[in-house]
Amino acid sequence: MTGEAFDPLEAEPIARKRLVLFYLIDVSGSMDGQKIGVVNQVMEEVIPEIRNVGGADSDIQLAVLTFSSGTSWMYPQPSSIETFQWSRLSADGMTSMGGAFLELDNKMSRSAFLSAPHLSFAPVVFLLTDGYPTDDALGALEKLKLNRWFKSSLKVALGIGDFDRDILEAFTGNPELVLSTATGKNLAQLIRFATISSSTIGSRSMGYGSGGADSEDSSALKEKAFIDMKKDAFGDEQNPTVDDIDMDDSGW
Amino acid sequence: MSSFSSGDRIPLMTGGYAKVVRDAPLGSGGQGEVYLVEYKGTQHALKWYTSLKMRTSVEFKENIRKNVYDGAPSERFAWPLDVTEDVNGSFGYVMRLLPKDNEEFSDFLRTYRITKTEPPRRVPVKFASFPCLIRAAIQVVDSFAALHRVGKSYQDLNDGGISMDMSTGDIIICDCDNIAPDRTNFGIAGKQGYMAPEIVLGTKTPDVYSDRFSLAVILFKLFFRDDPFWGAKVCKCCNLTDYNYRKYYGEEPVFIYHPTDSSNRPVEGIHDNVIRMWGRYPQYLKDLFTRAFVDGLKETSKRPIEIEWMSALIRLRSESFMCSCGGFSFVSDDAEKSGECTCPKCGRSYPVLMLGKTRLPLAKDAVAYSCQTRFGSDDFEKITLKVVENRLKQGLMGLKNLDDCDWEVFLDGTRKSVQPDKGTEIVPGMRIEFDRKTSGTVLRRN
Ligand SMILES: [Zn+2]
Repeated sequence: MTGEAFDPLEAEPIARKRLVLFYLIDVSGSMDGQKIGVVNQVMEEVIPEIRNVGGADSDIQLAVLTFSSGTSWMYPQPSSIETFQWSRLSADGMTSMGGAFLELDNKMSRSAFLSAPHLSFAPVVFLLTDGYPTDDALGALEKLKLNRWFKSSLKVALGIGDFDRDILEAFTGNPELVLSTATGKNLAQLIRFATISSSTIGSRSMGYGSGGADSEDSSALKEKAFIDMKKDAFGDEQNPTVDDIDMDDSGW
Repeated sequence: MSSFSSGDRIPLMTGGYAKVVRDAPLGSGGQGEVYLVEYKGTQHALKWYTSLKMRTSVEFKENIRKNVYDGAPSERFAWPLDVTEDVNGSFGYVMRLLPKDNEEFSDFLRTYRITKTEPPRRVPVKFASFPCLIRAAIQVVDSFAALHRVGKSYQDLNDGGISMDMSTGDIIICDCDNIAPDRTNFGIAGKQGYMAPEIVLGTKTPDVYSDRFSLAVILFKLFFRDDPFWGAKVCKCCNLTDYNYRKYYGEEPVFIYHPTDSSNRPVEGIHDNVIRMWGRYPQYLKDLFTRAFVDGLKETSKRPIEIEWMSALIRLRSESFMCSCGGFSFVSDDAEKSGECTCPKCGRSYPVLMLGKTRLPLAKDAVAYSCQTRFGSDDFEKITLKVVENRLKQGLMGLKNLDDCDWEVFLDGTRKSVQPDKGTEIVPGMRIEFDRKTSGTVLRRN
């Protein structure tokens, strides 16, 4: 009813929808040195850049899972981009990508990282590797692919040098969502691009145009948006490796 | 990876140059970068496209050129003032700089801005007063009215497109590069939560009607600080996938305060803002939102037009009042019956001036505007009447004529004129003729 005293300016922050960006990062021995250095540097730099990507109504959170001889989450829960502090990674050991897939499957659930009553956007999953899995990654992927959060998520992979393209294509379900760099030269640029574009897409919801969203588990609209952005950023080159741009040489 | 550095001169289509005056861009996004430049002797902003799609689209560039030629529909747009020649396969346009202390609408909704420092800090973002909030709402509506009157639509209205001065309520509409004549579209995807259902479904391209939907969403969020379609029903889906978004914002959106369908009511603990505030606002404003979000969902022509929002907001501006005790409220529904307006906090009561349907509580410093006191006027900024205290007799309140013509005041069979800049004591029962066709009455107390 009207006619009661109240403060029309006093308000809580508008309710936000959560967007979890899952990063699966290979920290096996072969990543040691320059590669892991670039990953650390670019992640520290890009995090402030995506703080405002979703506007007021999205809460972007990061969950970083590293895999080498075992798997390990950077923090026990996804944490908000607003306060997230990147903890620098070092690399050593094997490549248990399969272990990472199983661990991701564990945490992609309402009883773990995607708890109610919050409303979430379909997550973004980003996989980065420079080699071949040393465990049964394909078997683990079969299991992960049954996870409904995973099905609806936007999946992007980034391969460095001599990597297992087959498993990355199986992971994303679309070869166009696999970015690669032969030398690691434009690694920083690709991580930055993948992070900014996927968080933008993930927090906006692609409603424009018909089709593409005919199943609850589909991520087709987001995939299309990502591929469009990739072409917009890198031209018609399917694989930006061909056209290595300036090496980002900061941070050594 | 900046496209320009300080001192670079970028040739403009109309002749002359924009000179870059700072090395690093002021900002960058998916489509391009913004540089600080000198244009016609003063500092301006230059939007520069890095996106392949934007910089190679002939139609896109031609549209901006046409907008430069047409000029801004009102001064509240950061309108393209000049387009550059092509440089290294791209182009840009010059626009005004935003005032340094302005805040973004999205930060208002978040209630704070995140600083660009490390570690980031939170700076509170809040309007100085309710009149500032109303002023912002009125200016947004007025800007869209002006835009729609020239046959153009904004197409992608969302929380990123409005810049606001929190101390005055003055707003600026930003990102004007997709503004185009109705039914022209450059494939711009809208933002979730702001797009009209027909845009979500892809059955129509953005036009004035879809703008009006987005405008209603902006106004709803401005007052109620929550999403009009995110309630219990949407919460249940947990994962707002493209499929679910399409369903809950395109195929079957349910307004959280739908009069007969209660399946999507706001949820305590999540949507506390709207739960606390919806009931406090007057029915005439809530009716407009209900029309926009219920009847106007599918039938686009039923969405409130700008002039309807305008008159509701102008009325709301007058019917909200701040008592001398600091208590804020809207005029209650029984004010007309009781003939006075009572502060719910301290119980002090004020006389009420009826201006058409509007009930203006005559607290000190209350004002009325030209659009309320002059026949045919649509000037919602010019103050024509103000409640003042007599300089000689403390506590004696009067109405001061701030217009440029005489008022005629009638009371108990007497009649007198009040000239501009003069005042008259407030007496219940008095009727004031502001002009031949417009008058107001101070209610008698019952
Ligand atoms: Zn009071």
